Amino acid sequence: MVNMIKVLYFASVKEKLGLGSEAFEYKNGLTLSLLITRISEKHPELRTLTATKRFLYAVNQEVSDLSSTLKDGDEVAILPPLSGGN
Amino acid sequence: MIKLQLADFNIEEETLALRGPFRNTGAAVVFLGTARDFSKGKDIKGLEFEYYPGMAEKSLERLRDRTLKEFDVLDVGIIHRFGKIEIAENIVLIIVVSQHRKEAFKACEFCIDELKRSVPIWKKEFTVDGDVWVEDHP
Repeated sequence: MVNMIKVLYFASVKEKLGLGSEAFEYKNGLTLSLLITRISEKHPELRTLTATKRFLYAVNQEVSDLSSTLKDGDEVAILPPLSGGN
Repeated sequence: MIKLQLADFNIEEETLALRGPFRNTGAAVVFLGTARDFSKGKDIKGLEFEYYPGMAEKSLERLRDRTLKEFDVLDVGIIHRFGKIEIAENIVLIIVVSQHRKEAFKACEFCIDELKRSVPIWKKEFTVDGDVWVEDHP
């Protein structure tokens, strides 16, 4: 069975990729950490994702640890450092 | 009251609406964040805000709930605009009403600090040298 994860991009990442979201397929268990590695391999311009700890990752709209296990249909978002308010 | 909106807001209307007719309310502390024309020595021509639909609203609700729980205040309202914002325009409004002013001041500061830290909203600055997403937490 092929599972699908929807990945959302925002702000600088969205602009760098020219892409707001894309789907990733996987067959066996996938952790958030492995998914981020796959995203960085597909988009080498996003190496900063793994190089900086200031990026946060959300699974189904909750900030999550890199060790989290993903399941079919999850929504993962890459969150660049936040800068709302003033 | 939580709002993410494109349009500007009316500070007085929002404040009076949140304050309501209650006779036990002694203070409303209002924080207004506006668009400034400089940032780290650079001239800023304008701003743009983007947010994560769904998660931003949830984060704001959670921040409001947390503020109500941790401080002795009666109500909290947060409005954040998105999209393009001109210099001198309003960006964010936080209103805290309470029986006594001290708690409201504390709660209001907590709310804006925490908003910047935990709500998925991003700011882009339009400068003479180009456009940059702000990625350092001030």
